Amino acid sequence: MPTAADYRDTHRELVLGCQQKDRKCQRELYGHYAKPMYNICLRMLKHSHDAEDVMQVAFVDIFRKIDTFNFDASISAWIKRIIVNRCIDHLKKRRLLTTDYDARQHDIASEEPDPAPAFSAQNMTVDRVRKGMMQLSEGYRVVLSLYIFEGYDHEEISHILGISVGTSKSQFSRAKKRLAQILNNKQ
Amino acid sequence: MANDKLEDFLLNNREKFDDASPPDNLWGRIEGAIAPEDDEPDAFDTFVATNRDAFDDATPPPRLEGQIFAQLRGARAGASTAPPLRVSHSRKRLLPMMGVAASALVLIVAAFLLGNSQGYRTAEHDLVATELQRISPDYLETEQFYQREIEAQFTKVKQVNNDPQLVADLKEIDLATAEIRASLLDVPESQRAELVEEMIRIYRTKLDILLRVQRQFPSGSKKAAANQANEHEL
Repeated sequence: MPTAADYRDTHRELVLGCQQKDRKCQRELYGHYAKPMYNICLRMLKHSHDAEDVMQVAFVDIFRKIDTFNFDASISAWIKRIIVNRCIDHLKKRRLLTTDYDARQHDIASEEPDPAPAFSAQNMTVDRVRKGMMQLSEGYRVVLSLYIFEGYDHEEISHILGISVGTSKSQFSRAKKRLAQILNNKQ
Repeated sequence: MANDKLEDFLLNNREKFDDASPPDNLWGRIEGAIAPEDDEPDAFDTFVATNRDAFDDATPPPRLEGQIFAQLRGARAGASTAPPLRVSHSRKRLLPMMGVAASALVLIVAAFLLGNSQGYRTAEHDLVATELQRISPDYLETEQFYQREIEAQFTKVKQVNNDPQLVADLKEIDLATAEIRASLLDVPESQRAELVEEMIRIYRTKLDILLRVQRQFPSGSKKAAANQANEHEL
């Protein structure tokens, strides 16, 4: 079973090469992480052209800053955090997050005391879930993506988004409720 | 004494002071804040965990890699603040473009020092092309691609903005590029691939300049120029 040190040392040689500005190492590292990071961008930003823009900015940033990476964490976590931060920056620039995190902007249904609609296994396919997430508001989709798909806990999400832990939890809960409604065709 | 009466009154009517009820939907809000317990995965959590890899099936377009490394090369040459090509922020006319041109010229000088250039000679053109092909067929193809694109974009620029200063700067880039190209056969073989890379980067820079100039055009051609930039990859 891999230890924490193993994770920290993943792609160590590649990272060291990147720190020496070795172009082959940079290309190889990009090859390892381009696809998963691109998918993160797509989930958070929704549009492929935005995802491409953020990927370009983020990876240039990654290669410029990689000499500051000191193997305290895994390189994948380090890269992912930069990608996520750039996604958030991108959303903020578009003035979407600010309004989304205002609860009053969300659907009335999510404020109702009714119990959350149950997810039905029959309604869930990867494609339906993906499309359903694209129908969520930015705020819901971002929190849901960070928690469920990227594995951040609510405390980390609170730091990333600059919100309270409670807000992260409530956003997540409402996001799931809304997604269940969408998947159950109760929009 | 008065205080004692007040205290007695409060104690005797204590419950009446607590007759307000919380709104009916308060529990819903509380539940919303505490519901997602990490240790209680529901069907959705389980589904995502089971199918996690399937959610990452999108592949970044190949051109993205070219754009990233082209920008990194630009950063090495001192153009580290250049924004991504897709982003068309407003720019101040020719000044930034001249900055890019100046950066390119600095790089050209640096690249020039790698070899013992003996000047551009037309007769060497085919020899250089053969050498490019030998180093990597991609190099020759890439060079031809950029030469075609630069010619086409330069024609468009000249039709709208024939700025003498810009034309002069671009000519200097052309001359220096030609010298580097001619010097390709003179440098040690181990350095040739690196020199070719630098040469292609300069082509790319020149193409960028031409595309950025077009973005400054007043007509609706900005979007077209931005779209063209997206199509170009190294």
